[in-house]
Amino acid sequence: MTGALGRRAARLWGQATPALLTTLLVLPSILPIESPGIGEIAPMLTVMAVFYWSVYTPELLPPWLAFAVGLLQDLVSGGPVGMMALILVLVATYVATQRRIFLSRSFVVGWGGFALIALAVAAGSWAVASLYFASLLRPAPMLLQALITVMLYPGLVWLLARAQITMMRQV
Amino acid sequence: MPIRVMAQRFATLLLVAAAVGLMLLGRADNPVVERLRLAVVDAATPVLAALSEPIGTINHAIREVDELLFLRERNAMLREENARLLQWQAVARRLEQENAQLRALVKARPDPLPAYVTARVVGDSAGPFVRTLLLNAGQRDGVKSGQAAVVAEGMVGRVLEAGERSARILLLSDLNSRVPVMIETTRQRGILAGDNGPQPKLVFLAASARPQIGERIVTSGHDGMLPPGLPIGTVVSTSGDPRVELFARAERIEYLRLVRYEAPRLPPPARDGAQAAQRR
Repeated sequence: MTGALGRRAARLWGQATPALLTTLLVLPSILPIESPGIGEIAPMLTVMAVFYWSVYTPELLPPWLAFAVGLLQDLVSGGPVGMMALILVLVATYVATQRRIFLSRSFVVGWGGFALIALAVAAGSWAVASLYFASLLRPAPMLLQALITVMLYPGLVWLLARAQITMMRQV
Repeated sequence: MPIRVMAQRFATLLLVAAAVGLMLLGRADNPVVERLRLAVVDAATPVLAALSEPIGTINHAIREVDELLFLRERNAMLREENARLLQWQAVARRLEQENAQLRALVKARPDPLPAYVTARVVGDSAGPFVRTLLLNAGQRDGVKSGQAAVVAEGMVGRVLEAGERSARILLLSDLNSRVPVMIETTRQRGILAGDNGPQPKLVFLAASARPQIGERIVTSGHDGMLPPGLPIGTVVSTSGDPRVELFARAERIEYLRLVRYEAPRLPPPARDGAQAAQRR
């Protein structure tokens, strides 16, 4: 009985891993970390996590969960409320429909695909924020942000893959 | 099967609509969105406060190494600066006395002295859209929206919204930051407007105002929430809208002070005035 219960708890825990990890990745963008050189630009870690889980286990990170994480990020970061929610829902939905392309090919193809999505997110968020604030924002910080995010992709994917392997042992 | 796909599409559409709806509401300063934001930030602040503690230590270590590397040069620089400041101190003492005598002579009413609340920075939104800091002090500590946030070097920003135990500071460089300022020497007024870049610009200056490069910009105190004379920065370019290099660098701030300043007001209308008199 306890064995069965324990197994069920472990399974639940495993199934919650994608959502929990994605939520956790909201934090680094808010904490006052001093990053010499790049200043105020933080990588879009949640976009990366949503991309990753939407490719490998889309059923564990459905669009509504992506929405919730985005909303949390919006509320805590003080940006336009709903912007990251919108972006993460769109990324989750789009990537889940195209996941075959990313699954079957090599790592480099996945990286390239993510780079395109990061660029689209930068352009999209620039457009949305410009509309929201009713003024043309400088696009350079957003492009820089996308660039940094793409450069960090291999590292974070490695970490998320480790988490996924641990998780699969439990599910 | 197609029904499931349709349901999924419908759900996605709903979520997109919800996100867009939230943005529209937030844009219109809907109180529900504001309250939600304050509640979430209030709840998140203890977590952020706990997590930002070790990060502060790491930042310290990085700075320590940085400082060790330039110890000699900095020492020489500081000695020079100290000598200069001692001269200034003498000047300030003399002026202070002279000022006191003159004030007594003309029976000038002094401005009320501001009180301060010191708070720790527990978060900064590192997005390219907004420039804000999160503090671990809120309404229960006397923080109100509109108050100035200062460090030793000068003003950093002002309180945008205050929750129960957290507050958000809108930095001077933020797109939405507008602060009434003046040129220190000429006393000409203007507005310091941020544009998310590192150097905010001076707008709505009088047509006759010709700010010179190197001139100091301070708060004018014309909105009643900010004490006059808080140092802000120096003019660094005068082509087009003049740009101001800020004294305080926002990315290195661990603690800052909020200025609880009540500007002198006209007495309230008669009815309230009687009550106020009774209270006194």
